[in-house]
Amino acid sequence: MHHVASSHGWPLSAAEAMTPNLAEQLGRLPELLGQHVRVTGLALLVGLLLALPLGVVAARSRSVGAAALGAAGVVQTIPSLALLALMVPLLGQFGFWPALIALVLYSVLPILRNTVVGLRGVPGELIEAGRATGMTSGQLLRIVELPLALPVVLAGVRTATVWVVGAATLSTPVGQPSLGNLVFAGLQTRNWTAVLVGCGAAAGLAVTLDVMLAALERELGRRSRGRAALAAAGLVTLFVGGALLPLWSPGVSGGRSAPGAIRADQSAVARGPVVVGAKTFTEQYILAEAIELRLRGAGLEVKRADSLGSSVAFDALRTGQLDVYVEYTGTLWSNAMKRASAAPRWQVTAAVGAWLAETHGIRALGTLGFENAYAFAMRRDRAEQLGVRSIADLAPKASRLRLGSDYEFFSRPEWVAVREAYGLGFAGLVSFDSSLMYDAVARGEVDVITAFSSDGRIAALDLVVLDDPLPALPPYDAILLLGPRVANDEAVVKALGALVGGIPVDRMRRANLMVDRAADKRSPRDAALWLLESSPGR
Amino acid sequence: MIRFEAVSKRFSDRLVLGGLDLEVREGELLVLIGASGCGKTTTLRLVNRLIEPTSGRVLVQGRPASAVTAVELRRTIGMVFQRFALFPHLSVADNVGIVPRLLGWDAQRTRARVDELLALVALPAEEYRDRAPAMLSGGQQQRVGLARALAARPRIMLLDEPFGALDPASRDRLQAEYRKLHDALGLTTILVTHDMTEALLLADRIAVMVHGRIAQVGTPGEVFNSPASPVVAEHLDAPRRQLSRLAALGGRGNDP
Repeated sequence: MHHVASSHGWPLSAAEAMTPNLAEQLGRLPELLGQHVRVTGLALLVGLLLALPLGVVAARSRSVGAAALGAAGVVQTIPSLALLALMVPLLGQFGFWPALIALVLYSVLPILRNTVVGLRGVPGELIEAGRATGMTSGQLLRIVELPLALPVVLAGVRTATVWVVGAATLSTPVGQPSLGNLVFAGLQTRNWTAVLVGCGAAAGLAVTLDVMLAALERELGRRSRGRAALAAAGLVTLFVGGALLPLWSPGVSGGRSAPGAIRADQSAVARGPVVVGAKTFTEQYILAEAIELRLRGAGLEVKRADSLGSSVAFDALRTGQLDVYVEYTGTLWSNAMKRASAAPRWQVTAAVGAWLAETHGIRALGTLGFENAYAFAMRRDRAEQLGVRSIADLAPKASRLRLGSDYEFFSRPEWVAVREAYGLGFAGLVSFDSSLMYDAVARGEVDVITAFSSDGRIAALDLVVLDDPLPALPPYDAILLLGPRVANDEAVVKALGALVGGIPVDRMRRANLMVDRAADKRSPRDAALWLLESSPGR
Repeated sequence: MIRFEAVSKRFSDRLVLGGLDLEVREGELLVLIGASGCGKTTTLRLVNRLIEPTSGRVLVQGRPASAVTAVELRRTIGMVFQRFALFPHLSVADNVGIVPRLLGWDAQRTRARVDELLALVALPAEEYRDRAPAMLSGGQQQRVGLARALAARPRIMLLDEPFGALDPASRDRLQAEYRKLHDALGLTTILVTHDMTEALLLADRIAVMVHGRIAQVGTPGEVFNSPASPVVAEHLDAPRRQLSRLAALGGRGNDP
């Protein structure tokens, strides 16, 4: 069994599963497109309102111009994902506001730059003529300078629009739903239809907006006010209509929902929706679905925050913007508690639970029954050829081997611990999207990966997990966390209590594989339903 | 009407005007002539305060130019530019009606005034009011420029090489027409040029500028017949040569 997407060719292999899958992805589109248009439109509007006056001042004063353009230029050099991520700790919250502010900052430079260039490009004799007719500087700006600079300013708005529509897909990991949800979740769950729908919609949106702005620019250039007004009206309609899309879309209100979802009993809800989070990998999507199903089953209203960055999720829970998600004890032990050494499983679980309650008022409801540990894994033939059975065996051979991992492992304390403990010096370290590293090791592009022990692809690709005899890596029990707002909410505790200890590792692996495999692919919701039905004692 | 009293102007380290004294009388057309960089355009711009003097003072209608705000002052003075400087995004009518618009006239009054002005500069309103400046010839554009300057019935007109960018036929026609307008409307005009022939043709008086000072002021006859200095005489070389050449040609032209 070979799981390489490119060798299968996604359009062919997924052909039979395409229709229901495509329908599901298209069903999510109105809500996500609407969110995307809303945050993009607002960011551009605020960006325009900031950049335009700043540009006017900057065009008239060399020093202000240099400072403003310099600052905006620096913002632009920050990768958009990093800029979005930086806003979360800066604002102390996640979701709409950090996304909006990052995108506003991103939109400022092209508009500012073009405003300055446009205004400075107005011929001096026209400014002189304006002054000679007795215009005040405000009248000169309104009647002569801005109208003449307008085509250049609009070209800047077009650039900003294309940038912001693209960058907005990256607002998903900071908790603002966007078309990026389809792309991120699709990439993680190897659902190429979702990726295509997300990319296609984002590209379509960018192209549509660009074409309309180009029309506006052209008609203003021709000084035909009627048609320019028409193009402007079209743009406004698109933004307003797009922003209202989630309301119009049938069967969707507030948070996301899908056919067959259990609807919350509105009258019974006084606490507001319980916000359920998921990080950016398959297991998290499935568990979030399972949590949502349990909560809705108990008549509670649920809001989802998917594809959150790892530290974003914990910070959001800590600050009460997220109510429930599944974390892993080793992650908290190493990263939040800064513990350098490993310890027995029960000890880590107990220490993490106590620490969460004492320092953050977070309730660890309990472990789910499986571990998702960092597991050094190799292709079986390669491991046998090298005679490697444990991480310790790797040490003498590491200088000829390449290690692949997810984005964060190499900057986590666990990597430092395991590297020091075994004296590992690899020939190369490669960071992948975690969904791609399994293929990379299967194809031999890297020799070793830090697989996730609950991932079904370890067995499916016949990978060997290397022992950690010391041990250097902590245990990673999946643990259900309740934020301060719902920590003592009886209804929530009762609804989710059944999940505690209810998911053995082989079941989690099978659920993960149902979503990750190329053939007979299932949605995270299907996998969650299967997980809940098949769990013992239910 | 306009008086310069010991006016000097310095741009950073360059002295453009060094103690200029000059009076422009009510109703006269004074031509300010001189080589490039002699300060004639600077002198013109001091009148409507597009620039401010470094020292000395400029009196307009008996009052210091600085007695009112620059914006108020400019609305009472018309200005015409060499390269027309029409606003390319506005129609002919909107260009001509710009000062009425600034003064807050209502649409009907502005429209009537614009039509009147276009007739004055020989551009039929029905045909030209909605055109874009780019669709007009140079001569037509300068007519619009003239109409724009005249919109609010100014008593003073400042013309900065107004015919310099026109072809000879348009130039001759417009020169003659402006002279008539000046007289008919009772304007006081300062016209800047470097063309002595134009000066001799149009001026009531000519002021010759050399290096930021007035070298001679007088009627065309006075300047032509008795130049005050060799530099002034140099300006007359071209018209003199033209005159003798024309006389020679005229002699031959009389042959049957």
